[in-house]
Amino acid sequence: MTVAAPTVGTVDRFTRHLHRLTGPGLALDAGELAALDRADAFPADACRALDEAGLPRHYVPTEHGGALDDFGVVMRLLRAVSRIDLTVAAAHGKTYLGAVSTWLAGAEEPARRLARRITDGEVVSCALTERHHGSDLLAGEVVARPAADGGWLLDGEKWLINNATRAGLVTVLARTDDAGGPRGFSLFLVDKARLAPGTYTCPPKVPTYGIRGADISGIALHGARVPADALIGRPGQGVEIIVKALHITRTCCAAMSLGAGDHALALAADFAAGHPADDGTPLARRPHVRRELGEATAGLLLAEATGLVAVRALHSLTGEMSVLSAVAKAYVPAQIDALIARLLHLLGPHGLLGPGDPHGQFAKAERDHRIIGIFDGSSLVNRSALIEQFPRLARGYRKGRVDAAGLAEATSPHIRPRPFAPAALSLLSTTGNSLLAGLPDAVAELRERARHRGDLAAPAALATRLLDATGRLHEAMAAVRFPPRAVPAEAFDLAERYELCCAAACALHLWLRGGPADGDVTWLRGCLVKALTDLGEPVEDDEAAVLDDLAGLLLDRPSGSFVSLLDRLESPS
Amino acid sequence: MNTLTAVEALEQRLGDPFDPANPHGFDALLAAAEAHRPQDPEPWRVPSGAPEPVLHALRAVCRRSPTLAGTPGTGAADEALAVGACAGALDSALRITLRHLRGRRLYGAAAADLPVLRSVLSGAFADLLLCDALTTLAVRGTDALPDRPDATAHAVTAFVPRVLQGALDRLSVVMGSRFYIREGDHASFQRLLHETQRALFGAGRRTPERDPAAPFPLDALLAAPAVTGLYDPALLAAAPGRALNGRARRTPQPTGSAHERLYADLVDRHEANLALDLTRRPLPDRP
Amino acid sequence: MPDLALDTLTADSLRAWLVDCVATHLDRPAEAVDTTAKLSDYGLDSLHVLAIAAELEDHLDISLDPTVMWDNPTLDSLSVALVRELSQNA
Repeated sequence: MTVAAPTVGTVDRFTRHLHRLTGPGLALDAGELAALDRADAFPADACRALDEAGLPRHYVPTEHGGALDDFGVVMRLLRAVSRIDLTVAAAHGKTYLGAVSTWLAGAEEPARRLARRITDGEVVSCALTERHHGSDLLAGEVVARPAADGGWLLDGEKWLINNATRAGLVTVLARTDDAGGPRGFSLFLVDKARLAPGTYTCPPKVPTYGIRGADISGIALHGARVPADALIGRPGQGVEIIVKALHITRTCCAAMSLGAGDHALALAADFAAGHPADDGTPLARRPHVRRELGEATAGLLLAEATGLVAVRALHSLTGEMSVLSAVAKAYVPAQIDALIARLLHLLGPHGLLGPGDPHGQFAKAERDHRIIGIFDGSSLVNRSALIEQFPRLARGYRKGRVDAAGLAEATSPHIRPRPFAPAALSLLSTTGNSLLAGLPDAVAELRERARHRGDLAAPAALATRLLDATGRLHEAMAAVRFPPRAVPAEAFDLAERYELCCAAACALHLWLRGGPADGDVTWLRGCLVKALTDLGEPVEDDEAAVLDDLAGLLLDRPSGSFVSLLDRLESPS
Repeated sequence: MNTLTAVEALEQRLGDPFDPANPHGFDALLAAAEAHRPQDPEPWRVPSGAPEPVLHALRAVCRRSPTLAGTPGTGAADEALAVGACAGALDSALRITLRHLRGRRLYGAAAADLPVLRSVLSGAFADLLLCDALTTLAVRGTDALPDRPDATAHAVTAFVPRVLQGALDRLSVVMGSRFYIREGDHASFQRLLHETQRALFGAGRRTPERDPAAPFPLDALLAAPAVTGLYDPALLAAAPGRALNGRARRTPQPTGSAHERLYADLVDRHEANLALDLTRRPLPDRP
Repeated sequence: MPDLALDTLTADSLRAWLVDCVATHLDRPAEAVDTTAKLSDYGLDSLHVLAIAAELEDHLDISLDPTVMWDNPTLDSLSVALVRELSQNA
């Protein structure tokens, strides 16, 4: 066991550096970023500042010369950027999505070449979607045909691609077998500088609802010839590689959601604390406003627990990521969208959507964050992925299949994670989901501890109800039978409940493993109350009162800081 | 009768919003919004009159642009008009979503045939009917629950806005990336969503006196004879937005026969160019 | 469907089980399923194939790597590959 002190140092240094850049006229000045957003203009200075701060190195695994050896670190770096501006985070972080297929394919020389380009500041994009097919990758019409001299000829258009125009390198998914199918596609790393003139064009940037400055455009290939070594992996491996790549990137998307959620929650709390209601006292003193702020805090902590565990699971529960990445990508953005919506409904009429927010940052976060639930596989796509796995998940839960060592590591944030092993990624989890299969033991442990610690009785009772709901849910999941394409709408409701059970389980595992044995249990109680409420389980009024305590955490936090589990889990015990 | 003629005249003047050549249509409004070009207010003017005809005239404007429906006064009646008018934006959002799904193929099938997407549509439709029932009640000044005189007002100021916005948000998830872009066939969706959000929750709106999420006797309201005469109670009961009255946080979509009937009614009205609210008034939209 | 057990599994018994399973999915008699034809020729795309895999998994209480199905598009090749894979994992 190694305490990950260097981790904290890297993140803290980076965060402090970003904070210094938020000053007037500097690269991350809120006024400047708001003006760029209004003009649909790319935040070039901000992205350059992140390059100079060394962020690209964290997209490159250490074995290829970069600094990435712990997904938890890159998650916290991207979260810090997202707290300031989501356009900047999405634009900069996309390079990892552009590169990850090459890292997974495992060939050394191409990986080393790409690593060098990225650390030199090259932007890498990833082009999967097409104008008429969206998330339906197997319907893709961009084709690659073998060229006479050994290379490939690419034809067709990829559209709604983040950074397609800015990028020097683009990872392209193309059909290499006319019949298509899961072995009918391959990936190519296209170097624009090496394409013959006129063989590619980039359709113009598409104006968007949020992340207005981002380069959301496309790339059209017209018989573009790429050399043989542009192929990533082997022919026909494209879908397999990209599905595994999405296991990583969908999980890391949680970082951007959490950062946007942090930002929105802080803006709302500061507004409510400073804005007087009709009777002259601050809005935050009103009981229902305090309760809403507390519930929003609980929602954020549940989302954070999910993101934190899922990102660590990339290292230690790698083979289960087909489940955990779908849970993280479906749940975290939806939870943050809901949190922002409820705060907006509550505080918008009081001025949070207007004069109460001088740079329009809350409104911008609302617009910007909606993209996270859409790109890289929408919540519907990820829920479908969960539903496909229902029979396996129900079986694994019934049989109590738990990777105990992997689970312990994923839920112990102060331990440096084992090295990430790409070969362990699996298209479908064979073990099921250790987080939930391990829930009965975790609940038993909490109940056992409650025998010696009175303040654990309440959370133990809540956790017992969570376990009961989880058991009933798995029975319902096992009973779902449907022909393909006729997935009943009710199955999506089960998937949503599944995500909630996972989120609550993450919070419980983290509390048990991540903090000191005598640690404060308020946040866990708040998370369990919120999860049970969202699950539609009965929650008593006196139990829900813990949310007001969570509002205290939010309202009493030091100025300029954010409420985070990490402060409660990694503080020296 | 009077209700329909006033609003019909306005609808005829403003024309088919889906017609790209219509100067008051979606494309023209989007282009103007993108260019920050103000509209000539004259064609959008809603004639004054009795509350209910005004509600429907405002709704005709909101079908195209909630912003152009203007800022309401601060009285309770004005509030009901302003909130009820926004159901027009949901009407348009439903039509745009239906058109999008019918034109798109996903995983080898028409997207509109995927059950989960259909249930979101039928749920948003039920929410529209629910909101119309409550705002109609308020606009008529009907005392549906004499022992809870504040129930209708609370429904209108605190509940209906969240139901309307929630339905739009769920439709935006179904629209996916087409929601997020400000160009192309369905770009008006994001403009309608944004304008509705500002109309319902923008600064200067009446702020509810008490907790907007506090439960109120919704079921009793919906069981009042004044409401049951408006629409089939079984279909109103399937509205996902009902969950926003109280502690529930997720909104279960309609299932079973309620879902089937709602979806069939939605498609019928869409094809026959009838309004999706309780009036079923004819619209100048082309199929 | 014919009974199937992990310890007595052969390519033949597995193929017979898969034929029945595919026939049920296609709603046609087992005789009409050609074990040398690609499943995709029957209109069974990757989603259908996953559903068939899920039934087999349920039946044998195993977990399969879906790429085995991607790489063996006919019932003949699939049953041989599955028996080989299962004996390796046993």
